[in-house]
Amino acid sequence: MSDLLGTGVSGLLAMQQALATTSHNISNVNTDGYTRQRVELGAQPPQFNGGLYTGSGVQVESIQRVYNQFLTDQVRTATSLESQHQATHDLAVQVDNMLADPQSGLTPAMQKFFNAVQDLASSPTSSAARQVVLSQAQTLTSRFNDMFSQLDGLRSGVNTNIQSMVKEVNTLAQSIANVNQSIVNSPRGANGQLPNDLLDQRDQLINQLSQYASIRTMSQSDGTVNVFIGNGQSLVVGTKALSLSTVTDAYDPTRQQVAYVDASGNSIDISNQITGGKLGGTLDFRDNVLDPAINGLGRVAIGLEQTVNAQHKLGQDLNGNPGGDFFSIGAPQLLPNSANTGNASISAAVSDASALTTSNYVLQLNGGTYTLTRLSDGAVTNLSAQGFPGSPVQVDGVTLTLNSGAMANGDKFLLRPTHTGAQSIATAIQNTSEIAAAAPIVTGAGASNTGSASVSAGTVNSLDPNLQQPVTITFNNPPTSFNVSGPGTGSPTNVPYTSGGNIAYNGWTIQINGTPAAGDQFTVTANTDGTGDNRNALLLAGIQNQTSLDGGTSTLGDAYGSMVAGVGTRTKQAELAQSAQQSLLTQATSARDSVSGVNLDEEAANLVRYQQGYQAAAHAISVASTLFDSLLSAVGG
Amino acid sequence: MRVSTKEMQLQTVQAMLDQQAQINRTQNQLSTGRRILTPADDPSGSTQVLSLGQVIDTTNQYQRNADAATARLNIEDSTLSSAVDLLQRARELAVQGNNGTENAASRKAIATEVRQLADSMMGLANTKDSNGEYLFAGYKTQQQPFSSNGAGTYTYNGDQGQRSVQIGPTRQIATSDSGQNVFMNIPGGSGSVFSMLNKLASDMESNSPDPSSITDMDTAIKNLSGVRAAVGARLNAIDLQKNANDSAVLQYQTAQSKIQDLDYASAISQLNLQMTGLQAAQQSYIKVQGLSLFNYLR
Repeated sequence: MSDLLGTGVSGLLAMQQALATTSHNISNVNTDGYTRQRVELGAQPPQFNGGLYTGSGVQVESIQRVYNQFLTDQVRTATSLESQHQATHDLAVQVDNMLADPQSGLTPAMQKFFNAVQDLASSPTSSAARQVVLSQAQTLTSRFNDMFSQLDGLRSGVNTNIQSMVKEVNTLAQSIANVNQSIVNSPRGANGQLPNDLLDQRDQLINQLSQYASIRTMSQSDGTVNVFIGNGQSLVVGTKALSLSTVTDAYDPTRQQVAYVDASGNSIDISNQITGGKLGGTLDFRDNVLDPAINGLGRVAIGLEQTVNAQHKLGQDLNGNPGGDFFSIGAPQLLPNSANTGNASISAAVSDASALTTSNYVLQLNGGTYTLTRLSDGAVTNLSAQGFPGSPVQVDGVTLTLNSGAMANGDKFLLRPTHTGAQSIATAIQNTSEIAAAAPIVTGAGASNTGSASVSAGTVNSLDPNLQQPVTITFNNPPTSFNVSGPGTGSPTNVPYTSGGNIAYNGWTIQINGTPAAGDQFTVTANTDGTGDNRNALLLAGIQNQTSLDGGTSTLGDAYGSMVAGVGTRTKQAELAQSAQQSLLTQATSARDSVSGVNLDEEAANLVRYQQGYQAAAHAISVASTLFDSLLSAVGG
Repeated sequence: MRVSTKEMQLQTVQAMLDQQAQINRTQNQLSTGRRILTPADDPSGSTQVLSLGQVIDTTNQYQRNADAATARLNIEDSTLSSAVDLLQRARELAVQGNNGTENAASRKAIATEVRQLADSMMGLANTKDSNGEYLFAGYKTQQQPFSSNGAGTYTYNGDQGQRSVQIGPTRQIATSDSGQNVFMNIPGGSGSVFSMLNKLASDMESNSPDPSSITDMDTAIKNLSGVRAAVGARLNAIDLQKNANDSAVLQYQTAQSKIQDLDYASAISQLNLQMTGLQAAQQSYIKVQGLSLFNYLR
């Protein structure tokens, strides 16, 4: 009888446990990272009585997590990649949106500037037309400056993001170490079982950490898990957490980098080892979307400044003076590495805008050889072979000159030819009369010429010191050759005449067309009072369609377009990668949850099952009680 | 396969969010009329839109330049027309003055009219355009190009510059002629238009008519008419170029619209499809979420 009672009670107790676990599962249906638990029931050892083994009820052998390590690891990997592309995409979209509206980008400002120059060509003496050119130039340079500020704002945003993400990583690492500690401190269950819910909590923390960067984990025999980041740097070792920090870039103090604080407290820059996660995505955005966009915009600014200034200087302003700089711009940045020991003072200047790339470069001295490495493709130029530092060298449109001092072995400089172009471009001329719409020379035919030849208006190619000296071309008899007289020409005689052929002296080129008569004269003189001349304005306006960049294959507009397309392509890539990773993450999560997730219908069925078991066990106790009553009444009579 | 209740719910909600994002995008396309909302939607297409936009704007600027050139050339044309009329009258007077029936008194009267014509000619040669620039001064458009010392000496103070404007990608057109070639240097003539008129007047005043004055006038008329014909040819060339520019702009706009603009019909049907999809997702969510074994447990 007592064994019947005991068996019944074992059933009651086991069913209570099972109901409690079911209810625990139901309660945690919405808990992130929760793994459903299952009560493992087993028959109690039988009793040997009178030559028979009699069953003695049920016992709870364990409460197991329904868990698959492989599926959990898959979710973690997918989480890292999804977070990475999500972060890149979220940031790239901001640049993409900035360039989205064709009415608000650089193009309209550039167009209005060149249109104003065209209008100036139609009325070169009009002070209104001159004022519009000046205003549109100022609008254009401010547009460059504004766009740089917007992009630079994103750069500061990236710095702040990196700092706050590093803090999050450190907090999570500490929490994981704390859970490791709690697990070590917890008493082991049957079969050395660890506390299920602490394991879930740790998995969840590790999963959160994987949102920030790709990590690797390694389980230890004492139940703790070690976590590694980057190139295998330990972030959690047992119950101890190490940490990341932020440091400024070795070249650029305005650039925050991710660093690892090693056991002796030194911060080591590990930015280029961080992959995956929001940190990886943010660093990827900065390297591959933001910096190229800033450089691309800067290159357009430098191209504009170089070509417009070069043409403007060949012109003559309203006061009869040679044209000055129309735009101004800062020199390429050359940033010394903070570890440099030499005292070299090196300057960089743009010498050929058409050869400029949007890449950054590293200048270094190693074992006596000066090299310049283009970071976009790793191409190395041996500067020593070109005479540097003894003489200046030109690489990709930038001329490097050692002004004083010397680089020490191992010294490095970061060369950013185009980074600050859009930031520093400004309109140099202040006064409308300084716009050089005219050319400095004027050609003429002698008043007593009798032939039918005419002279072209002439073009100015360079600022020769004798550019404006009066030169006379006199045709000989017969008029198949001519004599030239005037300072700077060397006064050559009997120069053969070809109709339409180039005649070039003192920095100008003219053509004489047609049939001259003997004694006919043509002159090139200074353009005095030629305020109605628009020849240089026409040439300035022509710069818009001139292929002045990319080795003479791109106009300024094309170069801007390729920068926009670059941003668009990277944004699209990030979007596609993000959505691909999103579905992989969904699949991985479904796979894990199909094993570990709570299904309420299943739990409802279990509830019914264990409730019935409980009711039946209770009934068995009631039967035992009835049996006992029957016996008592039989005995008591 | 087992499905966890939470995952099932999250996935259905995510599906609805995705559908909403697509609807939002289509709505944005419909409200802006643009297929390409950001460069990421079509990187190469958006670059083409930019460069086509630049070509359209530049061509429109050529039209503006052409209008300015037309205005300037029209002034030159009407000035030259008046100058030719004036020379025709001078020629009539020269013929009349050379007639043997005229006497000293009547020739004096002719001389007076010729002097007035000469003054008018000086005024025409010093004509200004709408910007206040002298038309026939070459590049020195802010200095009066023609002057006289009052004693029969006429000076041209301008130069031989000729202003051009850009009216097409590779087309420049001259919008002025130097006074040197129009009034001063008459091919085959005996000096400037002004000195010819002066000589005619002086001959009449001194009652000694010279038949060469008639040829002088003919030569001058021929030169000015020639310049006027060239101006007319330029005006025609501008018209042709303007037509070419107009059709180029139309082509560029069509190309730009093909790349950038939204196909409304397909966008609207897409929106309907997306809305149906969202409704279906919402309805199935409500139905499926209502299904639970707990509903039957009493």
